[in-house]
Amino acid sequence: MKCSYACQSPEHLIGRRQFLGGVAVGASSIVGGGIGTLTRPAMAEQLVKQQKRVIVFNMLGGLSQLESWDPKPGTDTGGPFRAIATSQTGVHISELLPHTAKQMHRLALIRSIDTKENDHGKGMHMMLTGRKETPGMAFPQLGAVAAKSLSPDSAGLPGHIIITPGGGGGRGSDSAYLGPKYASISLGNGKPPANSERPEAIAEAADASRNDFRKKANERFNLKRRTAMTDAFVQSYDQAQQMMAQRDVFDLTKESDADQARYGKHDFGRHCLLARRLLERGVTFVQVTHSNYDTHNENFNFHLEQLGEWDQPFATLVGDLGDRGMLESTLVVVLCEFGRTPNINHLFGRDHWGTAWSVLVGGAKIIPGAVIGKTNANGTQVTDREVTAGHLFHTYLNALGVDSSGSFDIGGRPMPIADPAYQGIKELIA
Amino acid sequence: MPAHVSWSLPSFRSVVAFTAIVFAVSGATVSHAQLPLHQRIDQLVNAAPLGPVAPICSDAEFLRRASLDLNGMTATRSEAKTFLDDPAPDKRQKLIEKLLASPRSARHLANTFDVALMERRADAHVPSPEWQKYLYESFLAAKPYDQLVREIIVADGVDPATRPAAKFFLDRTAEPNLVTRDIGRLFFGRDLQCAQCHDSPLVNDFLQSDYYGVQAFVVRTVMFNDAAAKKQFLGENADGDVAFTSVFTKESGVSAPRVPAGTFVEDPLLPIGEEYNVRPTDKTRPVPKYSRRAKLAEAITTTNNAQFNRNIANRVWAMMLGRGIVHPLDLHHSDNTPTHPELLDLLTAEIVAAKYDVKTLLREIALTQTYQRSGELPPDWNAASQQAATLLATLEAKQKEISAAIDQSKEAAKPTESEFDAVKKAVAPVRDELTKITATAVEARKQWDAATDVVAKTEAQIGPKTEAAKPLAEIATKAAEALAKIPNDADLKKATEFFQARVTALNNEVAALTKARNDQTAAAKPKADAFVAAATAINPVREKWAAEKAKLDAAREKAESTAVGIRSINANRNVVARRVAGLRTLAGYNEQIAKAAASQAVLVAKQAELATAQKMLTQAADDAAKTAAQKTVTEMIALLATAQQQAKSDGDVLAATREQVTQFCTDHFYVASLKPLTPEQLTASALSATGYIDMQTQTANAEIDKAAQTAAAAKPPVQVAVPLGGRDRQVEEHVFEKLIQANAGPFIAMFGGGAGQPQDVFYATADQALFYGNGGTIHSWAGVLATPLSAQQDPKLLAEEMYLHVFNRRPSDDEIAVVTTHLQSRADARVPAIQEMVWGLLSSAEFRFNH
Repeated sequence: MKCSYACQSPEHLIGRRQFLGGVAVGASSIVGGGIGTLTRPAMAEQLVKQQKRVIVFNMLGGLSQLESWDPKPGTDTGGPFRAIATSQTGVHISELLPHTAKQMHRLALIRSIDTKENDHGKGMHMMLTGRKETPGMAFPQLGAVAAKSLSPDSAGLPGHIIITPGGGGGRGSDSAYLGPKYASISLGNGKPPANSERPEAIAEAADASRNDFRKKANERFNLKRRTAMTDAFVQSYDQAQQMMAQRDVFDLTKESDADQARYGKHDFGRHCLLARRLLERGVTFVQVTHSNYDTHNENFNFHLEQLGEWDQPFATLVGDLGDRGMLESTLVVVLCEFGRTPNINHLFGRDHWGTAWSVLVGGAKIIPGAVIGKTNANGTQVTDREVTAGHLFHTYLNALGVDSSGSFDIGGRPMPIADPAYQGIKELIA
Repeated sequence: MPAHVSWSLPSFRSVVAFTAIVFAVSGATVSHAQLPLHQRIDQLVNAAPLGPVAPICSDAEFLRRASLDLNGMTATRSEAKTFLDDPAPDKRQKLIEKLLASPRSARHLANTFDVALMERRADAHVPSPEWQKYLYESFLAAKPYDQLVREIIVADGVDPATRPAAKFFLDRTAEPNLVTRDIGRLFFGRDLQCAQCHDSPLVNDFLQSDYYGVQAFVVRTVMFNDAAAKKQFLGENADGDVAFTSVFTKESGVSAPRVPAGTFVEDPLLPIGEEYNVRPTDKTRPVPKYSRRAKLAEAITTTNNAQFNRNIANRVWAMMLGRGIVHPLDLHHSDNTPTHPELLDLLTAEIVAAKYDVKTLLREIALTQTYQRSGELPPDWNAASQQAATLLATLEAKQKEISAAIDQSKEAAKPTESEFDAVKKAVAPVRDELTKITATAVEARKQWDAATDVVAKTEAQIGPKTEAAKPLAEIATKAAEALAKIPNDADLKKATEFFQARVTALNNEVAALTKARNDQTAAAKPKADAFVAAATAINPVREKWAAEKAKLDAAREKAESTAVGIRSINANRNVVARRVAGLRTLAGYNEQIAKAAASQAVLVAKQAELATAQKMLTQAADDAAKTAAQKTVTEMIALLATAQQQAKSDGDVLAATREQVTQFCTDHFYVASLKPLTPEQLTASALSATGYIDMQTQTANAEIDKAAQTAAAAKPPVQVAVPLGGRDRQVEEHVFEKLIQANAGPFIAMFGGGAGQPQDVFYATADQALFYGNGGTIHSWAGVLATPLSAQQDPKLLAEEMYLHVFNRRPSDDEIAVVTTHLQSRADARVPAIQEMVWGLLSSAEFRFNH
């Protein structure tokens, strides 16, 4: 099996320096202008539409597909809830999601997932990296891959953010070989990243003065020793300064009272509003977590409660992205580690189920209103267009215009962007 | 002919000849064994360079580079001043000796090997300080590298004295895939999971079998939780094999252990049932009589260790030059060829000759001109570009010939492949028979052991009961005697009857048990016989297999040498292809300069023409002339735009070519590469630059003196033991613990790579810059230097001091001018102004990189 990606060919080695700055091999066309440095609102708005972004909703514990995207009312496995019509003709979802139902013409469903994985950790690894957990290997999560592939080198804000209750600005370890630059920054309490504020002891003028001296030293050095590495180094200080100038991006109180009310004052509502704010400011990848869906008992009460909280802020965000013209450049994904068993156990719960479940996607190049795949009448198996995490990972990247068959160059080591054993779901991409 | 072309099948002879021609292009000769190693290295790199070569670097550049590479930190201000002012012509040699003699070099090597081997994994079972101390003391004592690796592989973590060495396995929880991959990458330079990158199933399968060969050494190693010690140790089972299925041929098999490119290490055939010194149970750590892990330690330095040697030679080179002769360091394979195959062969031979003393190789490399190159290429590449054009024609011809040879060799390999397949099939029945009969014997042994256990259990009951029966019979007799005296005593009567009954019962029990034991012994006999029969039956099959295996080994050896041959030609093709690509770029350089100059000239001409046309327009006499002039102007504007575009595109191409040529020259060591400082180097160098190292060194010396005085003044005087390495070591340890170790944490968190990931990839992130700008540390350290500097009133002298401290060099005139202006603009706040400048220098690219 000859691998198709660039593999130490001489041409490839010699061109390596061009890639050091963080450009994906085979995906260089997607690296476009950033908005970080732009101050003119009209221009920034234009670029916001062009720059591709991702928002992932991670339904921790495993959302029940039967109480959400693939309801089977009136069957032995269906449970007590009804299916309702949505804004997309012919597509029905659970009655627990009335607000989302009104946005379905903007979204798409994949109802034929079989990951064959019923373990929380392994399932999450598969869904976030698009690969099976392999001993001795660590793979970057979607957020890191998206940040590396899509974030402009000049971006001032971090490209990979996780919003989760209790998150405190720390750097995650989810970027594997893509390195710390693309690791997640976790937010939750509205705290901006560490060290992003100038200490009081250093006056603004003094800060400007020392940076001026630093720049002069760099200019002299770069006259004769300029490389991609020195460029990246110099740029990191510019990015730091941009981050300092944009600290209020993490401050939700800057949003209008009306918006705060529309999204809700609870954690998840505030997190969705923060996500909108970050996406608008050009952050490439935002993951918002919602928990907990691991409903081994009282599945129906818990889903009623959890989705009751989740539905409106999510639908509001999708609506806002659509109304603001951002949806065509922003991929939306609602995923989890696995679905839940069709079988209802004696505690009125549903257990872990990787065999036949669903993921919701939308935005970017995803065809609005599409439904991929089918399960049988009572949802116990996939009957059409079976896919697994590898296909989904390629699909997300393809929806963003990334050639997922390419490789990253990691210090001369070619690393496939996505598992070469799979491809994206072509019929879902416009 | 280079040593690594070791195959010799007739059909490849013509290719060997090509190889010789290919390497002759570099003009390299390897025959001057009488010259010192550093001169032989320079000959191989410089004899006929393929591109422009940088001049030798300045003293200041050399000082900073060597201090970082050999001691892990930049020089202090006084070290820099002393070195720069020293007129001795051999001061570079002296500096190398001084740096290598310093305990800091052991510290730097310990850090380098820690990061390389553990890749900043979080501590699991062995705390990093203990492991780092073990490495530090190993390098301080000049422990040979092969011995270090052997210790790391065999340590089981039980003996506290050698436990730190077990970190490699313990902190990877002995996970066989992880350990296999990392042994492959770190000790053999082969990331064996990259086996898909090849174009021949034969080659692929042997690489895959390399992976399973390494895994077979470690697959029996297990974690053992010692409840009493509350620690995890390593145990090893006596069985457990690595089964694999080829992804290429779907063939499956069991792999015996072998190191990459080595030969198989067969297990000795121990008598069934006698495989362990300590059998595995819940409470005992298994210790086999024959340890495969110990065999791995043996195999890497006894036989077939070519790849082990090449890996360390390449890594030591990379420590100094910033990149390997094979790069990345863990991708030695025929698609990723060395830039200088003969150089890697030479270094490999020399590190073995030096008995794996890392410092010997470091010294020789430091002495080379290659190491001492400037980072700046000479401005004029005209001659190099012309030469490239000439070389290119020769190499392109060779390239074609080699391509043909590859096809030819693949064709030639086919019979060998089928022969190997046939032999594999032919020997399979005997191997299966051996597997089956061994399993039968193991099962028979198990049954016999179980039967013996039953007998022993019964026997264990007979003894105490027999012993109890005797005193009990005496009591019964005595009781009967007593009853005879007072026959009406009802209680006594009852007791007597009880004892008599118990005696009878006990005797019956013993009799029954004895019978049972005899029966069980009799029943065990056939099982013993069955085992003996099975064990005996194994022997002829083992002998039969030995004969079959010899056939298999011969066929495999032939097939492998064919595969090695293909890989070798493939490697040669890639060496040539890489050179061709580089030369092509360089050869096109002159043409591109001419093209860029021409399009620039066109641009200038068009600008002039446009100006003329515009002038005519303003001077147009009538409407007709005006219209005509306007038309000319419009045309000229369009032409100018095209010319501008052309000039820009030619300029961009030229710039990209320069970049590529520079990279080519860096890759080939004609120009010094830029190396980012490691987090530890950044910490230590910032502390050195700001004067902390000097201060703490003084404190350490004072404390040692004071302790010596106290000891001498005590009555009676106390003899103070001086450790290995003497006072230098005491001072180094003090400075390291109090300053560098104490401050490195945030730098490692900010600048280190991810846990378990390669640490040689450069990242510049906004949070690093925010840490430097707003984190407080660098600002306050800059303040520590600012105060003494502020005593210097003359801006020129102040600038000189500051640059010696931070950059280990004197400032240029324009830099002095910038410092002077800065001081003048902040005359009201002199110390903060100096602090700002020191911060600016510490935050600059010149400080961030080793150049």
